[in-house]
Amino acid sequence: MVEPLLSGIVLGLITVSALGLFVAAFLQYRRGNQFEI
Amino acid sequence: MELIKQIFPFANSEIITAAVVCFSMTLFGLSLGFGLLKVQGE
Repeated sequence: MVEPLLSGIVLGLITVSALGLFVAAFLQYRRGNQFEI
Repeated sequence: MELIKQIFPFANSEIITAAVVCFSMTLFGLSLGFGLLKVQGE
């Protein structure tokens, strides 16, 4: 019982969310702490 | 396509098309939104 459209939406959103989180983490890692805490 | 089918054995072209469209539309929407914010802020 595989719904192709649902599976495609889920896989696309998982990949774009993971990519966005990793890009945001990398930008913070590269810039460092701007609040000096 | 072979690599994708190796990772997801149930994959077919309909799933891949939906996933690629979803991925692309999300990136397009984010870039359009932030681009318009940048234009408006100038």
